[in-house]
Formats: sequence, C-alpha cells, structure tokens
Amino acid sequence: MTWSRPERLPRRWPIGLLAAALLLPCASAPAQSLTADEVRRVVSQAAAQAQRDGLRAHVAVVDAEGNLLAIFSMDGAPAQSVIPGTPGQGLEGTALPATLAAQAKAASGAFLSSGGNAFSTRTASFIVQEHFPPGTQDTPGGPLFGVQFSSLVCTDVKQPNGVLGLSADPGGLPLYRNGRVVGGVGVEGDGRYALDLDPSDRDQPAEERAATAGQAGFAPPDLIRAENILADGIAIPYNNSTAEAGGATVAGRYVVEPRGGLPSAFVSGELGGLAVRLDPRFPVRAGSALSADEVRGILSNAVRQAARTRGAIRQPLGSAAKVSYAVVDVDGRVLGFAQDVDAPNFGIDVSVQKARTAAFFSAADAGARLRAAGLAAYLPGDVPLDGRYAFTSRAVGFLAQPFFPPGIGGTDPGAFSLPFGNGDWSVFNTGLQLDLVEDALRSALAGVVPSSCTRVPGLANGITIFPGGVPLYKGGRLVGAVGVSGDGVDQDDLIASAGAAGFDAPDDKRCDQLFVRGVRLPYVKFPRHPEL
Amino acid sequence: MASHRIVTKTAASTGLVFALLLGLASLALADEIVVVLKGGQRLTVTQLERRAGKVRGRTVKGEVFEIEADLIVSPPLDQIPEAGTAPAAPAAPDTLVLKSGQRYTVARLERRGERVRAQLADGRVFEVAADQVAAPPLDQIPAGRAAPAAGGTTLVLKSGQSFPVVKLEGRGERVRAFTADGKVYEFAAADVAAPPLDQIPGLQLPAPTPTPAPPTPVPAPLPVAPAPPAGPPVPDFVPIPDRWQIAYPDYPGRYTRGRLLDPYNQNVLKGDRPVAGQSVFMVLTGTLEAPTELRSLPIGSGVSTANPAELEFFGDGSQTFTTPRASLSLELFQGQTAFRPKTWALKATGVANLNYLRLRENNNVDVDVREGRSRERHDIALEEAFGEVKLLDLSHRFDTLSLRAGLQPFVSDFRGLVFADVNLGARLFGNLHANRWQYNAAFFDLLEKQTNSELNTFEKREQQVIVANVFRQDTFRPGYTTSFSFHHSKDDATRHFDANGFLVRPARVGAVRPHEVTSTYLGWAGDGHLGRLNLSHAAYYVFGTDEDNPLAREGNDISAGFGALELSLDRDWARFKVSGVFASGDDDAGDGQAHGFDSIYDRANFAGGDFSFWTRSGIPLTQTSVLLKTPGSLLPSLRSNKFEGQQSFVNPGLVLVGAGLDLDLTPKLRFAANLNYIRFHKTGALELLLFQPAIRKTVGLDYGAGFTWRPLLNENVVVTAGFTGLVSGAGFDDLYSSSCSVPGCGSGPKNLRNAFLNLKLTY
Repeated sequence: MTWSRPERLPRRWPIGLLAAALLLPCASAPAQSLTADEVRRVVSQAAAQAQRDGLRAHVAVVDAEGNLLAIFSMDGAPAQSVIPGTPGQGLEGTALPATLAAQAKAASGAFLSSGGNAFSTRTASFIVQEHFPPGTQDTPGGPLFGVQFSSLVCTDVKQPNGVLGLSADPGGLPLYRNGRVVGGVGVEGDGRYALDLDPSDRDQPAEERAATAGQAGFAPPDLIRAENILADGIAIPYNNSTAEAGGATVAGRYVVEPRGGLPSAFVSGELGGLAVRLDPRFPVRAGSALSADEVRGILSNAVRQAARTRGAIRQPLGSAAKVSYAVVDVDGRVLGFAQDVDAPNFGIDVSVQKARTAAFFSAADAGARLRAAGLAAYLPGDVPLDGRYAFTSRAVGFLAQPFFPPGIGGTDPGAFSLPFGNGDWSVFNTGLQLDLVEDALRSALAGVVPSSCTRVPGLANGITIFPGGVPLYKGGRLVGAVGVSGDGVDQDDLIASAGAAGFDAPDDKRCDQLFVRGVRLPYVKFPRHPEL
Repeated sequence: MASHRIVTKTAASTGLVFALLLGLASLALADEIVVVLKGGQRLTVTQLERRAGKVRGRTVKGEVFEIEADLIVSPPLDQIPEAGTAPAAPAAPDTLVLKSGQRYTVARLERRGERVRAQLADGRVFEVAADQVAAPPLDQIPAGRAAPAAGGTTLVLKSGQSFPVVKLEGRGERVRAFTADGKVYEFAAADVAAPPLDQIPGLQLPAPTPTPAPPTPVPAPLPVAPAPPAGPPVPDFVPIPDRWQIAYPDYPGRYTRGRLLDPYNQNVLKGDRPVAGQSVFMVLTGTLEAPTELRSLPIGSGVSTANPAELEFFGDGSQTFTTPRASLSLELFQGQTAFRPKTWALKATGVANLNYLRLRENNNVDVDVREGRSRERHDIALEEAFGEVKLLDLSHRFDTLSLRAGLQPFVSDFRGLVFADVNLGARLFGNLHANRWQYNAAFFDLLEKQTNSELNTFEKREQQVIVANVFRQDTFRPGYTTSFSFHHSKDDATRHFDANGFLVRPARVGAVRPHEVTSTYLGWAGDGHLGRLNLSHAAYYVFGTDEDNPLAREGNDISAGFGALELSLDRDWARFKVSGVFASGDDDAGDGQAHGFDSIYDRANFAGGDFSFWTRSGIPLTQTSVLLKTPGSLLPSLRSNKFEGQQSFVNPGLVLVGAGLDLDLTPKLRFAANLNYIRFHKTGALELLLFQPAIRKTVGLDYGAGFTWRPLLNENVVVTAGFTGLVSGAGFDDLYSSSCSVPGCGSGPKNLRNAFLNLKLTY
C-alpha cells in the first residue's frame, strides 16, 4: 500500500462522513439500538448539566459501532479544543475541532465497553500512561499503553471509527440498555483535549459531570463498571462524577441531527464451532504463504482458546474472554477477521494493528521500510529489524516506552520511544507510534482523509504497542501474524499464541533471545491460572 | 514484671546468662555460719541451735545434722541459741560504723582489748580492730568480760598483733593458744601483752629476778601443732568493702573464676559486679547469627525473564536466603539483683545486617529488572536506645512503677499476636500486690523499617500505636495468668516506596489511594496451666475505620475477630500440643464492612511458630503487589509489606487446627514437630483481587520439624535447624497453579518447602 494524498474533499469531512453514513442501506435498527428520541434525551440531559455547571459544550452521541447519532453544540461552546503541551512535540499544542473531540470521547466510551465491562475515557486515561497506575514511579506503562492511536480516522479497518482515535480526556461514557452497550456519549467544552494525570484526586470535571447526566437512564450495571474490574489487582477508575437528573432548555443547535442507532455491518458466523461476528469486508482468504484453511484454523484455534480463557476485564467473575481476532499476511493484508459476540469494539482496529505490528517488525525489510519512511532515528543498532528475530507486539511495546526497561525512572527511552525527562514524551507524542500516523492525522484535521494512516507499507492503520500480536512462521519463514485484542493483554497473548500453534516462530528466532541494554526482550506472557 | 515478656532472642539468651550468674552470686552471698569441729572439719551452715547437749544445724544444702556440743570448737557454745528460745534480746540495737564506711546494725557491742566485738541480730559475731571503728566512740563501747571461762578471748601480743582464740593455757613458760579453726600456736609468755599472764591457767613462770635472765633458746614447736604462721591467723570474719568482692573460694573443679571473655561465669561486663559504686552495673551483649533458608515459594517469572521461552506465568520458586547479623548491646543500670526493679537504666543496641536473596527468576528482587536474580543489601541500625527510670515504689515488695522511653522492644501479649516490635515509644510499666498484677501503658510513634533487614530507620512511619494491658498472675488457679489489653493504631495516609523500589503504601492494589487506617483492639488472653494442662489462649475483637480501603475502593468500617487456643500436656520429657486459630475473613469487599482480621504487627509464636511453614514464610500473592501473608505472621492479611505496608482488613481470614510435639531428647537437644490443617475463612476478597471466581478454601497441610541444639547447655551457642513445608490444598492450588492447554503454558500445584539453619552465638 502506498501513501498518496487524496483529493481534497469538497466539504469538511465530518459532514461527508455523515453523508456517507446516511447512504448506508437503511435497515431497521435492532431492538437494542438507541432511538432518535433517546439520543435527544441523552443530549438534553448532558447539556442541562453542562449549563448548570456553567460549561458551554458540544455533546456527541454515537452508537455501539461508532456511528455518529448526534452532535449538539451549546451556544458559546468553544469551537476548538487544544491538546496541552509544547507545540511541535507530536500532537501537543494542536487545535482540534471540539465537535470531533466530543465524538472521539463518545466513541471511546462505546468502543472500550462491553456487556462485561463499562470503561470510560477516564478509564482510558488510567491505562495508557507511562506508569500504571499513573504517577506511580518505576512501574511500567498501562496495559493499553498507546491505544489512543487506534480506530483513527484514516484506518482501513474500523469503520466507523473514533476519528481522533481513542480519547483519554474524562467526559466520554458508554451508554447501556439492558446490560448491553448501545452507544456512547462525549462532552467537550473546556477547550482542552487532555487526560487525567492524577487519578487519585477524585476530580469531577464539568465535562464528565455533563456526560454522567447524559448517561442517566443508560448507565451500565454497577457490577461491570471499571472500578469493579481489577487488572493485576488494581482497580480501574470509571467515573468520578455525579450529576443531577433532569433536563432543561438549553440554547444551542444540533450540528448533526439526532437519529437512531444503525445496524451493525457485521454478520453472524461460526468459527471453531463457536458463534462469532464476521466482517464481510474481511472474509477468510489465502495469503502469500498461508492457505485459507490455515487462516481459518488459526482463527478457530484462537476462538476456542478464548472460550475457555477467563476474561480479565469482564464481570461477573468467570466470564469467558471476548475478543477480536485478525490474521494478516506478511504485507499487512487482512486474511481473516472475527469477533466474539459482545467483544469490545476497540479490539477490531487494534487486533489488526497488533497482527500488522508483529508481521512488520519480524520482516526482513522492516528496518529498511522504516528508514525509507524517514524514521531511521528509531533504528538502534541493538534491535535488529532484519528478519533475524521474531517480534511480538509485546516486544515492540516493551521497546516503545519512554523508560527502558519500561517504567524505571532515570533511564533512557526505549528504542521506539522518546525521552521522558525533558518533556518530550507524552501520550500525544509517543515516538515511532505517533510519528507513523501523525501526518495522516494532520491531513485529516485539515479536511483530507488519507487512505492509509502511515506511509510505511504493511502498517495501514498504525501500530499497537501492547501485547496480543504474534508472528506466524512456516518452516522458519515468516508467513504473517495473528492479533488478538479485547481482554487483558496476557489473555490476548495466550489466545493469539493458541492461534499461532503450529505456526510458531522457531525458539532461536524469538526476540526473547535478544538482550537490549542488558535486558531480555519478552516474547509473549501468559496469565496466571488463565482457563475457566 | 511484664517487661520480662519482652523477649527478643538476644534478650532472652542474655537474660538467661545473667540470671544464672545472679543465681550463683546469690548462693555465695547467703547468710552463712562456719562451724568448726574438734577434728578440724568445717561446716557451712545457715542455722544452728543447741538442744540438750547437742547442736543441730542445717547446712547450706539444706541437710540437717546433729552432733555432740562438745565436739564444737567454734562458734562458742554460748553463742549458739538454745532451741525454742529466742536469742537474748539486746538492750538496744546499735549501729556500728567502720571507717571504711560500712554500717552494721548490731545487737551487742563490746570492746575486747584492742578489738571490738559485735554480735549481729542473727547471732553472728565478728570482731574488728578497734582503730577501724568510726562510731560509736570507743569509750561508749562497754568493755567485755576479761576472760570468758570457756568462751573465746583475744590474745594480744606485745608486738601489737591480736587475734581471737578459743582457749589459752600455759605450758611452762609458754602460752599455748587454740584458735577457732582448730590450730594451735605457742608463744613465749614474755611476748603476751593480754590477757594478764595470771589469768592464763597452768602457766609456770620463774620467780622474778633482778638480773635479766639469760636468753632462753626458743623451743621448737610442739609436734602436735603445725608451725605457727608468719603473721597472725586469719580471723573468721574479715570485713570487706562490699559483697561483690566475695570471690569464689579457691577450689579447683568446683568453681570457675570469671574472665572478661567468659560471659557465662562471673564477669563485670555481664553485670555480675558493679562498675561504679555498689549498684551500677554494665551489661555488654554481643550476638552473631546467620539464619539461612533454602526454600521454594510461588513466584512469577515476570515479563523480562531470566531465561528465554519463559512464557508461563509461574517461574521456578527456588530461593536461597541468608541474613547474617551482628549486634552489640550495652546496658548500664543501677539496681540490685533479680527481683528489685532497676532504679534506672540506659541501653543501646547497634545491629549490622547483611541480607542476601538469590532467586531463579527476574523481576522480584527489585523493581528494576536489571537487578537480576539476586539482591544483597547491607543495613546498619540503632535498633534499641532507651532510658528507663523507676518512678515510684508502690510497696516494700518491690512493686514499682517505671518509665521507659526510646527505641525499645515490646510484645503486647503472651504470643505476639497483635503487636510485637522494637520501636520508638514511651512505656509506663510496673507491678502491684507483690507482682501479682503487672501492667503496661505504652505509646509508640513508629519509625519506618529497612525493607530487607526489618531494622529500624530514623524516618517516621507516620503511625501511632497505643497499648494498655494488665496481667494478673494466679488467676483462678495458681500458675495461670490472665491478661486484658487495649490496642489502638492510627496509620496515616501516606505514600511510601520500599528500598527495592516497590510502592508499599498505599498498597499497589485496588484503588491505589493513600488512606488512613484506624483500629482499636480489645483483647483477652491467658497463659499458664490448670493442673497438668498447659493452656494458652487469646481472643481479640477489632473495630475501626479504613478511610479508603484499596479493595473496597471506598471507606469501610472494620469489625473483625480473632481467637487462638493452645492446650498441651507434659509427659516426662515430651510435650503434646493441640492448637486452633480462627481469624475472621471478609467475603464482600464492597459492602462497607471489613471483617478480615489483621494485627498491628504480629510475630506469632503459635501453632508451630518457626517450625511451621505457614507462619514462617512470607508468601507473595502472585499477579498482585501484595503478600498473601507476611513472614512471621499467622494471618493472610494481603499486606504489601509487614512493616511498611498498612493493615488490611479485607482479607480471607483463617481457620487452623494443629497438633504439635516437643521432645527434650537430651538436655542439649530439643526436637519439635508440628502439623496444621489450614483453610481460608472466606475467599471473596481473594476472588475480587485476583479477578478469579470460585476460589476454594483449603490452604493445605502445613508441616514442620526441627531441632534446637544447645551444645553448652546455655544460650551462648544455639543451633536451630528444621524443615517445613506445605502440601497445598484446593484453594491454594486455585491461587498458585495454572491449568492451560497452550504450549508453554500451565503450571502444576506448588510443592512448597523451607529448610532452615541458624547458628547463634551470644556473648
């Protein structure tokens, strides 16, 4: 896939997106979808709370798939939100249309959640920072370190998507009905598109209070709220805010008129004897070295493993993991995709990113392709990207944190990251991961959505820098990769490894043979007591 | 006294050595009378009385004997009281003060020539040179009988020497003197100054002549008597400056004279003799020990692993741990012997520790994986530093009230179940009613511990503990002591990383927010025996609040209970024990109530103690940053660290039943064995923390056996060795095994063991 700048779209692209959505076949919305009236109710509740708090905000509502259902802009709401930080350092200092920020927050609430877990943008903030929990020195980055750069507007996988990717700015919540995710609500109005650096201060930003009010009537069951989900013993925040009930007349206008939720483009299918959702765009097919049956076998093995793997982020305790699965060819082409019913939708884009990450970094020309894309600064001598070693997305992520070994203060950054000490690194300036997609994002913000997120062949939707992507080998030769996303990262590794069984990288090729600055790289890591 | 319950190992061994020394010293110091028989034999007796021509005595060993009165040379018969009659009451007790400063309360005082004879209230008699008497003035001391008919008298020579004799008789021109110890001497009559020669029977003096007599050759000593000594014979009673100067008699094989390097026998460095005045003592204690363990514990292999292809969560849990330490302790105190409380004391203990841990896996010795698989740390600490002063005497039976302030050891109950620490505090303690009641009221403002050695630092822990307890000896039945206690702890909301870089406060679990924990314990405990049955028990109820419990993710109210009972029977050299422990657990972290029992800092000597794998081991709760249980504790309290972590009242609790056996195989060798069956009380807290449903309750069978060997029959050299283990049960397997079908994944039940050896040398 080559990078080409598409023609400038005649209109601002969100409007174009809306138009495209409206052109979709107009099937009747499934019973669990939001109705247009419900969307109005969510908007009205959120706007009323914002008004009570003196916040002039944009309120966005999306459905579970991320289709934009409404954007309401209160009079006087700032048109732009600015990413805090130093202009010139990644996305820091960038001004964004505030409506897009609201949409990204709404989509993040919807994408990160499922019937087993309700996550918010506050949750995302907690799991993407350089330490876990944030602010705890000498601990590695969050489990979903870098997930903010997935489901981007330029992706070839997740449609519809989060536009700006996933948001870590509190004020985005999922919407539920009868325990199922039916959408998300996002509120943006304080002019800052940021994240929560101090998760212990119990702050209640007005944006989050407004989103909380909007969610009234569509709140998740208490049991599945993030704080009831402990990752390696650590409870994850969901929502600090409380809000008053009731609507009010709020001056403003709908930038996107309310509508009901759209049916999913996914179809029901079966893999390994188990029901899955399939994306008609990505039928199982043969790749350069993998046959269609082999691809199907890989996916089936993974699906079966997920069904017996205890979910790490799902309540009630003892639920099976629900994830998305992708197999890609050595060139990043998707050879097969599946998703468990009720898997969180962020995993759609991320599973493909993970597979592409593993396939790309294990390839003989990985270094050459990065160099050709002007990213030679990320090619250290001690990490050979020439096909000698099989890299997993865990290993790439291990090298993509601002400390090396991850989390340890006072160290130089990992090869694919930036130094933390002088303020270079932030979740908006992550190093190689952002540099791969930054141009595409800026282009999209300027109204031109490129057909690929990166100029690097094989990485069309960017990379993921946390576990769950495993390269596939046949006779010692790289033939592709499998990516799994949607549950705990160790569970993702386990399920991906089950899929890769029979196509394992030779032991002596695995990157856990490799020491970088005296530290052994990981390959995959399995969870404690993983199976049901 | 309750403070005697403060038993660190060092203190215990030092205490025993000290007590033995004091015992020996007190033997030597008992009131003794020496009886001399005509055959020259000497008997040391504590009692002597006349009974119808016979004398009955009790030796220092307690044997009673009776002999004919006329066999006794000394003391004079008239000084041996008649049985059944009180000694003649002295007209008025007087005080004899010697120029050396000693004072004696005497019943009778009389001058005999150049000597003063004093009779004590107990009938003992001694003489001192008159010029040694400071008071009363000599002229107020009545002159004694000139020459007792059968009693002792004093022979004074013209040279000025004088000594007591029991009999004088003349032989020609010589005077024969019989001393109390059976020796006989002769002197020329011309050398005798007193008594007057005409009072010595049998003396045949030549008629006085105006001209000097020709010199008379000195006759040879009589064959019946030994040669007279160069000087005068040693009197029976020799005044010495103080009792500490009474040395052991020179009797090879029976007494060992102390040397400075010998802590076991009389030694001024061990408090056996004063270092200043008569009652200021110094005790120097040095210990060297090297506890070493070869053990296996559950361990995660981590992300950056020690070896390639370590994909499985669990790694190889084999470990080697040694923590040799040297301590030097100096105590200076004013006091007497065992029973009288110290008037004041100053004590300081310095400890140097080296601790070394070697694992087979990365990511455990330090937060930084580059530290690899082993950790070596050196810590030096001022472990004890306190001053103590007796505030009040509450009775004439040594009931006192004392105050001790500074870094001090304290164990709040019989078995260290709630608070056992060496830390900074002030403690009022004492006793009442002839030591039947003992009590403590203590306030501790705790200092932080060094992570790996558990020694004190100078940094504040930001936790305050108040303890008040009272012990009643001989409650219900003699030999059974009961105790009631109150503990209160306030542990502030702080943030703290341990020396290995891990966040320990707040614990890195749940909602990781600093939180204050306030807890109050009400306790009842007992220890002792009822008849043949040895009994030790404890019951505690704790209430309070945790401002923001990590697992509850909100504040909760603490309400938890604990009970422990140990019964044992002694049969000759064997002791058979059964024990049970219950610590309540919490099943629902989110219900606003915390029902899991946790201590403040326990060091439980219960259900096997160090000979139990469960009690001895710190078992990490893998996948989380807390321990299932901390070392030396009974409780599975899910703390991040025993001292640096906070109490955690959302925990699974414990039910334990056990049996044990102590065998004194030889006086030097003790064998102990122990078997406990352990279950969690509730597993809801574990299920939430590990995000794993249906965790079962059985921990398993905890076993252990070992030896304590004291080759010198004292605490100066002690070797302890043993082997403990845990046969894991279903609940433990739920925590520490993985069933998994993916290649490279899965791990069976853990076979946990611990073999340990400690050599402890104490000076």
